[in-house]
Amino acid sequence: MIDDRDWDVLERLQEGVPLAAEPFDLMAAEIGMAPEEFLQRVKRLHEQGVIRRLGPRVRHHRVGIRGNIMVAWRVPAHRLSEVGGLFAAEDKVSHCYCRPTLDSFPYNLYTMVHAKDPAAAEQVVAGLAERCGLSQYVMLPTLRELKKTSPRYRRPD
Amino acid sequence: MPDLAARVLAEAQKGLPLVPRPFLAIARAVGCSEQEVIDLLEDLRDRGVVREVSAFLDPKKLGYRSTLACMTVPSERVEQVAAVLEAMPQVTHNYLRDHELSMWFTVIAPSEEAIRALLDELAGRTGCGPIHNLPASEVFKIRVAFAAGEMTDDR
Repeated sequence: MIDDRDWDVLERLQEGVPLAAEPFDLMAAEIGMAPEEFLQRVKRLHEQGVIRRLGPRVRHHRVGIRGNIMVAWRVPAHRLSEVGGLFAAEDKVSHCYCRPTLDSFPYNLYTMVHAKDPAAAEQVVAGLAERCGLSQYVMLPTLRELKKTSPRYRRPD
Repeated sequence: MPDLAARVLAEAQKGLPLVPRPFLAIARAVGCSEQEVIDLLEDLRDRGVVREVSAFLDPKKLGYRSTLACMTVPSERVEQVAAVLEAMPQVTHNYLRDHELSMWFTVIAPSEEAIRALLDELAGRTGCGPIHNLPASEVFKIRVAFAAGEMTDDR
């Protein structure tokens, strides 16, 4: 499904898209591929979902978000799809995943909530809890970002 | 951030159009010139607001597995443990959170076995086990784009 030339394209894309009028042509030339073929491969990989999107990676604390909270929710199994859908539709929720529970930490649905400051983020969380009728959740505010790197994916050996 | 820069950033975060001149397409969407879009993105990158313009890929489709892991790290050991995680390229994000389970980090590796082996190694090297492995079983949302001024990043 992903051939060697696809990997050439993917590895080049991960080095960064040139900020120039015709970035795909430039990247194609660098790996010795026709510009049309490069863009065709990018489009196909996007359709296949391998490429989610191309775009800027933003350092969010530099554009005014201090209100980042991870929230772990305890949701009855039969309500997971419904609640997950509701959370996903909320603008201030960036991520929403089901995860396994621990004996000491019985929460099964995780969200990242973002607002302009911690108080506003807590309000968003309280609003979500009320709308979904959920009382069991724990807020895990970000104290420090210790590491943030872009994952680099390489072709299999 | 000036209004135009915020609009360009918000538009670009939706994903560069997959056309020969993507910045021209963004320029048309926000109502400025192609060169302005390129200059603004360059400026945002130079100022560190944008780390890079790059590809967001689906690890699963590339044969990779990812997980979220957490552990309890005593406050006096945070720097030391953070340094161990910093040195491991498979650990892509690491956050200190206000909870007894204080350190939360994401891991990518080519297989689930490789992830488990890495977490075992980390538990041994940090002495902060158990490390809880919480892979996503269902994904309801991975961010697409936020309104200008309220942006975050993938993980």
